[in-house]
Order: sequence, then structure tokens, then C-alpha cells
Amino acid sequence: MPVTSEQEAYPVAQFRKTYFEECAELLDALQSNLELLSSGREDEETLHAIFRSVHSIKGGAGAFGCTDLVAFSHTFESLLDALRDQKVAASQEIKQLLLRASDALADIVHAARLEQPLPPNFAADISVAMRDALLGAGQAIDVAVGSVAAETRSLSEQKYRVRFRPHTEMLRKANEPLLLIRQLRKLGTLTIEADSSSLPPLEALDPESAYLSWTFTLETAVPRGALQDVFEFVEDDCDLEIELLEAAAGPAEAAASDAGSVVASAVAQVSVAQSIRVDVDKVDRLVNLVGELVISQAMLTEQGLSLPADTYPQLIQGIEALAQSARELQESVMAIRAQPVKSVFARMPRIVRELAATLGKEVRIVTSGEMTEIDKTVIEQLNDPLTHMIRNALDHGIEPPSERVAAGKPRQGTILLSAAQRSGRIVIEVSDDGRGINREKILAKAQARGLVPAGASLSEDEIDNLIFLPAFSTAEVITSISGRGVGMDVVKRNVQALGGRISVRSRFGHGSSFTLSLPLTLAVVDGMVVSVGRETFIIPLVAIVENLRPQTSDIHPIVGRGNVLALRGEYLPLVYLHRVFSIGDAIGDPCRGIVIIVQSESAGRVGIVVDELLGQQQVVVKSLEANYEPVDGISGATILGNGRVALILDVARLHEIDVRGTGGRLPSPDQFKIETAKDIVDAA
Amino acid sequence: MTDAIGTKDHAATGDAPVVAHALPQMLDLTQATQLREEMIRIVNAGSVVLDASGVERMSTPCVQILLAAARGARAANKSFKIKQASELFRTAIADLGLRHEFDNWME
Repeated sequence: MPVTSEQEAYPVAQFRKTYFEECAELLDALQSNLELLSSGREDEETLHAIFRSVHSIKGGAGAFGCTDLVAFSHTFESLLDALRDQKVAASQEIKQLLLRASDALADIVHAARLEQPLPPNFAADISVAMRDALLGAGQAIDVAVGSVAAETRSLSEQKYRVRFRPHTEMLRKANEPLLLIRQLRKLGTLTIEADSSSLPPLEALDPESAYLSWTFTLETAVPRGALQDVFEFVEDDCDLEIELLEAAAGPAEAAASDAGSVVASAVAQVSVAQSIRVDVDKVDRLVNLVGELVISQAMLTEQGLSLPADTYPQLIQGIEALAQSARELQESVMAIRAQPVKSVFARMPRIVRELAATLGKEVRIVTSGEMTEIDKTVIEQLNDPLTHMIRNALDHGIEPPSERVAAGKPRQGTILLSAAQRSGRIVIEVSDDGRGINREKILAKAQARGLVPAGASLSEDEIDNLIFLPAFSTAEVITSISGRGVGMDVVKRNVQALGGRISVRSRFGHGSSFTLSLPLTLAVVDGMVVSVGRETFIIPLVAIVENLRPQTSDIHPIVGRGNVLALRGEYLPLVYLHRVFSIGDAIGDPCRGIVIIVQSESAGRVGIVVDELLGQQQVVVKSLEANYEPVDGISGATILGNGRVALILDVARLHEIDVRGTGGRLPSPDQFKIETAKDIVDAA
Repeated sequence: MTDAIGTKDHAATGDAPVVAHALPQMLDLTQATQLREEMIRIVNAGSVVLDASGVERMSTPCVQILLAAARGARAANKSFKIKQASELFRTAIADLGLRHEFDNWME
């Protein structure tokens, strides 16, 4: 097998990766604890936790030669230490400084991870402020910046002496010292000293005996364990001695051992920790394969059902057991990727606080439902739209304190950020108690820009939704915060790319509320299989309330809005699928077909008119965008047990489409190619 | 195993016959026994010139044999040369920390 450059760089690259993964967690913890601190929790435990985060980041940084990171985190750490010892008081200014420092630290870590140089004098003001705070409290920083660099060097280049004498047994097993030496060389700077004094004359030499031994000096950033690992397979067949030659002295000593322990603990974690780090790619592949398995299982079930149950009872039983296991497997795999939205929500309070300070507003943020779990792939994409919505609420929504007081509101504005699961989707809401959308102003602006024809009458909802149009901004002054002409349209696009939707509700003078609705997972859904003409569709089961065949007397036409269904005193709009997707040869009459009542978060309850119910099954979602092209009203596609492609309906969009006109053009079977997991595996 | 070219060229070095020998492509553990016998034979026969241009695999056992052969030749006041050593040969010698000593014999 050819040795790839990646393998050659192992394990330093691996340690480095682990270190930066840990950094992300440490920075998150630092952030949450600083939040606690600024909200008034100044207890010892919080301060310790803050200190520990910075200290651990610094320790690892030394090991990987990230000088800037060591220098900055050292000053940061010194200030935290003084704070912990109550030599510096936790004043409001200091708390602000710590928050700024934590921001800068995150940036420096980011730059170090990408091995990018920092801008000149990056965060120099923060470093100076931190030193001033220390000096003001009569605390000198124990290590000057100059010696920090030296410290880094000594950390990154620990020197080991390795004595290695292979036994004859080792050579006989064809374990080649040459390969071990080359492995060792990859760990750092290696000097090799061979001892051939035991080599006998040629005549007395046994060709398979070992006569050579070596003493290596290795300058390396990796811990002793990594050196030991090189000799792992020959341990019993050689004499091996590894000793640390140059332990860093003085103040650097503690840091050196920390650096070692950070990395070493990363190594140790593999064997003892309750969790393991797995590449998302690997999980994605697993998800894909499980998807294929579910499809195969559905095909088997379909075949099995056509067999007489009394002739093949065990086969039928087996198929049922397989279905159960496939479902459990799929749920377990999805659970691996699910994470609480907390990781994204935790970043928002800081944004609010800093922006409020910049804008001279008084705002608090209240979050709820942080533990709602959502697929990791969705979470990663959530940060940007959410940040933008929060900034938007602060900049355009919440009024300045004086204005609020004049309007009879509390000085301090409130932004609510919540997450919840609703009908198989996650719904994230950002609402504020600010001034709300000024519809007159929005409409005037839209008309002035020619986005809306003059004299057109728009509903309140339609006016509110104008803010999602590209290049629409109503901020009187273009600020650096949100009104730069790119705004909610970008948010909308990002959300749609995730298979999500965004909507806004607003009451002028009382505030606005933005609702993001995202799929929980992008992989598998339970669906009802229905037919319309020759087409087969899947309706997500979570959206279905009930199915019925109405009487003719229950159907009432409404001018301009089509038919509605009278159901227990309620009137539900009817969506005729054959009309939405222009399908011929469909029954079309709800009284001869079936009406499926679905619930969606935006359109409420709607009746979908189909020809027939074919059954209920779990389907694997395949992207329509990736395999064909996006079709309005369709959220994805799947392969059924009989091998046919069926389209998954986006129920919330259907109503809007039906009101507006027709949906997208459906793909014909030959246009539609679905990538199978096999292809993915083959391509990998 | 061997691709030895047993040329004896008396003219080149006057009295002592020069034994030119091409080292095989693979110098791994399985070749060690045969390489040792070969080396004993040619070191006894006269001055040695080893052609290492074709060596594509090296192993510690074979390096030990070459080292012992070179030392044996030196002890017997015979000339011992390794010429046109392949890159792989040179790297292996360096990695084993023996370059200094082999430099005495390599071109």
C-alpha cells in the first residue's frame, strides 16, 4: 500500500487536530463561564473553570509551537489568576475586558488552526489592557513576553534519548529496524548513532542475528507515549529505553508538563473516555448505507407480503424482525448525529451584549429549548442565519431606551430565542418587543424601488414578507451592523438551502417574531404513500392529522380561493395535487378520492386531495436538488420497495402554491437518477 | 539468487585480483545467508568492487553482512569499494546511522 503524506505526518497531525478540536470545546466552555461571570456569578468555581480553559489552551499551544497563542493566553491566564486570587477585582470593566480577550483568543486559535498569520499588532490593545490591569493591581506578569517565545521553543522541542537494541528474534520475525527508525524520524529531528561494536567477523557472523544497536536523540513535540508507540510491536523483542533529556526549566516547566498532559490525555482518552471522536464523513457514510438498507428492507417486505403467510411463516417472521432492526438501526445512527442547539444558542448572548453597547441600547436575551436536538449538519449551518436575525432584531427592532420609555415600554428590550420540535421539524423563533415592522414605510420603499407596482394592494403578510426580497433594507442609516443591503434575503436563502423556511409576524409598535422551521434530519422520514393519477407521492406522517372521504355536501366553493372542506365546524382549504403538479388522469373529486388533512406550522390545517392511499412506510430522503433540480412543493425524493421513485411533498408549501398557481415541473423517471450508497462507497 | 559477475581483472590492480560483484536487487532477510556466503567467497578472492546501483530493498541483516565484509577486507589489507550506490542504498545506510563508516568505501 502506498504511504500517503497524511500517514507520514501521523501522529503529530493527529494530535494537532485533536488539540484544536479540544480548543473549540474549551472556547465554548470559556464563553459560557464568562457569561456566568458577567451575569454576576463570581464564585470560585466559575473562576477556576475560566482559568482552566485558558490554561489548557495555552498548554497545548506550546506543544505545537503556536507562539502568538502562547503569548496571548499567558497574559490572559495571568489576569485570570490574579482575579482568582482576588488581587484584581472583578469589576464591570474587567469582565468586559475578559470577554474581549476571549473573543481575541478564539480568533488567534482560529488563525493558528489554519496556520494563517495574524494581522500585525492583533489584539495588542487587549494585551496591553490586561497587563495594565495586572500592573494596576501591583501584579507583575511572571514571565515577560520575550521569554514566552523561549518557553514555546522549549515546549515544542523536548529532547528524548532512545536506546534501542533489537534482539535476534526481532530480525527473524522480519521486523526491520530501518522502518522503525524512519517512523521515529517522522516525529521530529532525529540524530542517529549506531553501535556496531558487537559485529563479529564475517565468518563468525550469523546472517539472521542482531548485532547492531542504536542511540537516538529526538527533538519532538509529541509526548513519550507516541515514541513508545513506534516500538509497540517489537517491545518484547528488543531492549528499549526512552528518557527525557531536557525537561524545560523554571516557569516553563509547569507549562511543559501541561502541554504533555494535554496531548497525552488526548491519547489516553481514546482508551478510557466514554465518547470517541468520529469524522462526520464516516457517520454520513453510515447514514447513507443505513438508508440503502432501509430501501432494501422495504423491497423485501413488499415481496414477502405477496407470499402466503401460512406457507412461509418463518420467512415472514424474519422479514418483520428485519424491519424492526432496520428501524432501530436507523434511529441509532441518526441519534449519533443529533446535537442540542445549545452550541449555537450559547454564542448569541455575547452578540446581543456587544451590539447593544455599540448601539447604545439596553437589551437582554432570553433563551429556551436549548437542549432541543437537531442533526449536526443542520446545526453547523444555523449559526449565520441566527446571528443575522439577532443583529437585525437589535438594530431595527429594539428602540433606544428613551424612545421605549416614551412609548410606555420598559427601558430594557427583550429578545426571545427559543427552539422546539413541532410536527417533525425544529422551529426556532427569534422575537423582540421592539417597534415592529413599519408596513407603510416598507411598502413605500418597495414601491420606490419598483419592487411592487404603485397602487397594488398587498396583505399585511405580503408586506412583511417584502423584507426577504434581495437588496431590501429600510435602515435610514446604513450601519455596519445589519443594514448593508444584504440582509434577510441572504438569511432566507441559507435557510432554504437547508430545506427550511422562514416567516415573520409583526405588530407595529409591539415587536416582530421571525420563525425558522428546519427539518430535524435530512435523511429518513416516515411517510404515507399516496397516488394521484400515475404519480406516487409521500406525505410525511408527522404532518398528517387524519384521512377521510368527504360527502359532496361538505365541499364548498369560495370565490378566488378554490374549495374548502367543512369538517366539524371548521373550514379547511383543499389542495388538489393533480392541479398543483398538472397531473392528468387523476380522480380529482375529493368525494371519490381521499382527503388527507395535514397540519403545517405556517398554513395551519389543509386538506390534500389525492386518489388513493397506498400504505405507510419509512422512506429514505434523497435530494432532488442534487439529482434533478428543485421542484416547488417537493422536499425530496425516495425509492420505494417496488423500485419506483416517489416524490416527498412539502406540505406547507402546497397551500401557497395552490393559491398562487401551479407547482414545479415533475421529473420523468428517466430524468431522475438517484445516487446510491454503493456509488458513494465506490467513489470513496 | 545472485547476479554476480565474477569477472577477474588482474590488470587493473596489479597483483591482487579485483572481484567485481553486482549486488542483487533485494537485500532482505531471505537473502542474508546467501549474501554472507558470497561475501566470504569474494573477500577471500581479492579486492572487492560492489555495484550497488540495482539495490531496491535493504535490510539490517544484509547491512550487517556488508559491514562485516568491508571490515574483513580492510583487516586483510584488501581494497573494498561500493560503487554507484542506488539512492535507496544510500538512504538506508544513512538511516541506520552507518553513513560515516560506509563513506570510507562508497564512491
